[in-house]
Amino acid sequence: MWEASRAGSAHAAPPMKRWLLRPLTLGIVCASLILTVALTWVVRVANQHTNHRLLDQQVQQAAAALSAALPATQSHLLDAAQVAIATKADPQVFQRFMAPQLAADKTIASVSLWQLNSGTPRLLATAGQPPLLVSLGRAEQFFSTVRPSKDLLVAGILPGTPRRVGYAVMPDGETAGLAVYAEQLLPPSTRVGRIPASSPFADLDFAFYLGDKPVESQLVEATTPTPIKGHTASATVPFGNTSLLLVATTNKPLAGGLSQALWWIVLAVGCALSLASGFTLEYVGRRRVAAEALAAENERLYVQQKDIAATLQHALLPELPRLGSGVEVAARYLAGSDGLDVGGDWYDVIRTDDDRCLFFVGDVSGRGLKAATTMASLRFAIRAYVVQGDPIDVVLLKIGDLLDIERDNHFATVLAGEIDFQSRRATFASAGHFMPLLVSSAGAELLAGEVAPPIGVGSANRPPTSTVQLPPDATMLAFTDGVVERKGELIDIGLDRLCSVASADDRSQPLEKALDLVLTTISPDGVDDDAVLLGLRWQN
Amino acid sequence: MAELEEPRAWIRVTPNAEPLFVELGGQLDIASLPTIEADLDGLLRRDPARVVIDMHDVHFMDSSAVAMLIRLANHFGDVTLERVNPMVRRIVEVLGLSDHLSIGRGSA
Repeated sequence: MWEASRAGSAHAAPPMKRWLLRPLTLGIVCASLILTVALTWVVRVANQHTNHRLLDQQVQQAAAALSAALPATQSHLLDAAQVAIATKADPQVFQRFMAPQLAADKTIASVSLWQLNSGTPRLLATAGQPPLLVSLGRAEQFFSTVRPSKDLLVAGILPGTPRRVGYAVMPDGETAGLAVYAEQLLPPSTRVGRIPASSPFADLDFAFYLGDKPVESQLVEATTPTPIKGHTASATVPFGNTSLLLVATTNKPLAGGLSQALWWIVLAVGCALSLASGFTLEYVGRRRVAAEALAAENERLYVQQKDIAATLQHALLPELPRLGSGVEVAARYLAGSDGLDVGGDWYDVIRTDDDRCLFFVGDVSGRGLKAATTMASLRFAIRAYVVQGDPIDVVLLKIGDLLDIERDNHFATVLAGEIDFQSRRATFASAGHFMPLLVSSAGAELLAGEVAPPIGVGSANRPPTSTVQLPPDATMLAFTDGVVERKGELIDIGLDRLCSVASADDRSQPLEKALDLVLTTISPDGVDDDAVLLGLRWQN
Repeated sequence: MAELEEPRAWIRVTPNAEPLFVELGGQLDIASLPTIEADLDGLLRRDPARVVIDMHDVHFMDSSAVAMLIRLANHFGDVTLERVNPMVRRIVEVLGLSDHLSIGRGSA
């Protein structure tokens, strides 16, 4: 059995395939990395979207602020035109009226009064520098388009150093053909410095164009090189008869630094989590494989040890002799519930002559190899003393020398019996052991008898013997404590249980079967401790 | 697994008492006795005139525990088991050890 289980174990652990990473781990790490990238992309797009929306809002606000600032220019020119009309276009009055305006706003380079209803436009008066429009030769063409209107009429950007923007106004309802024309200096460079940080538009890079298209020649001013690259938002503001185009981009994350960095954070955390979970999964997986291998190995060792224990135990128990017609003898040994240790329980039946036999049932305290070897040495010693003709009480006294509780930490209980199976006279001696149970048609009872201390305790006296005449239908059962003992139960309850179970035997089946039935009835789930049940039965 | 391995047997020795007073308790069997083995060895190194062992909290005792009691009795000579419950008393009787292990009058 033991060889067989060893041979079988060679197949128990098939060689494991070694992967650098297990496919499951690889799959999960890949899936979670893909998920991380997807999530990062979503966060990025959402952030971009938010930035674009905020940029649109800021540009709209900037445009609104700009359009609120424009009417001032317009009203100065309209005032100048009204003054000119009221004073019949007196040049000196016009110049006097305009002088403080020019002083207050250094960007206004030139303001002039024109008479337009006499074919060619006629310059009536000039305040500040001469109009650039005239020197460029574009006056006639521009003024031919000027009509009475509430709005400024824009001449466009005039090349020069610096460049100027020209516009005119002819008050609504004007019949004398008077128009006021002004030229305003643009910044020397189209690029202006940064907007102060306190401005609501400090986060914007923007460019203004005259008209509704971002044409370089019509660039009024910009805070950044033009054309503006990247994502831009634009808004137009009415300016006279044309418009101003505001094109802007952000130079800062409008949704905030955290929002801008969020996708990096998501990417980094996601990757870290993916790798960490992959590592954990791999670690746990490998540990599990190792644990399973260990469990399988333990299971194998357990089975092997159980096999060894059972094999050894049965090797230590004797074959029973035949006792002749009319007398059956049988014995059962049950290993304790775990079955891992060999036990110290034993039985022996020795036929000494034609109608006489001796039997022994014993129990070495404790368990394991020590108890089993002690049991074996006691059993063989008993056989030796029996062969030399010692009676049972002498045998029990002599084996007391083989065991010393101080030295061996074990003691043994032994019941010895001498039975004349023809006359049915039985003599018993017990060293710490239960007396046998007698079952007959009269019922079941534990035989009375004085019990001497166990073997190994150090008793120097022969144990007392008691003799009984057994009835013709007797069954005698000798047993060890495994048959009657239950944890936490008074021993008498177990003895009563054995009595009632044994008395239920109807003698219809062989003694062996009857013993099996007694054991399975008493302990359907097996015994805690190992147990021996030995029976002798007379067939009337 | 941990709950299976908790110590189920205990021993308490009252130092300097005369007679030496020892309390044993729990489930005394082959599995639990090794957990109090060091204390038992310590006890066997003492040399009092008399020993009283209080057994009232012993729930279970197997043959290993009986062996331990016999060794204590052999070592000290005068050992009395006190407050012994019926279960333990019957084990002592069944084993024919009534003369070896004297059971005190305070027992059930």
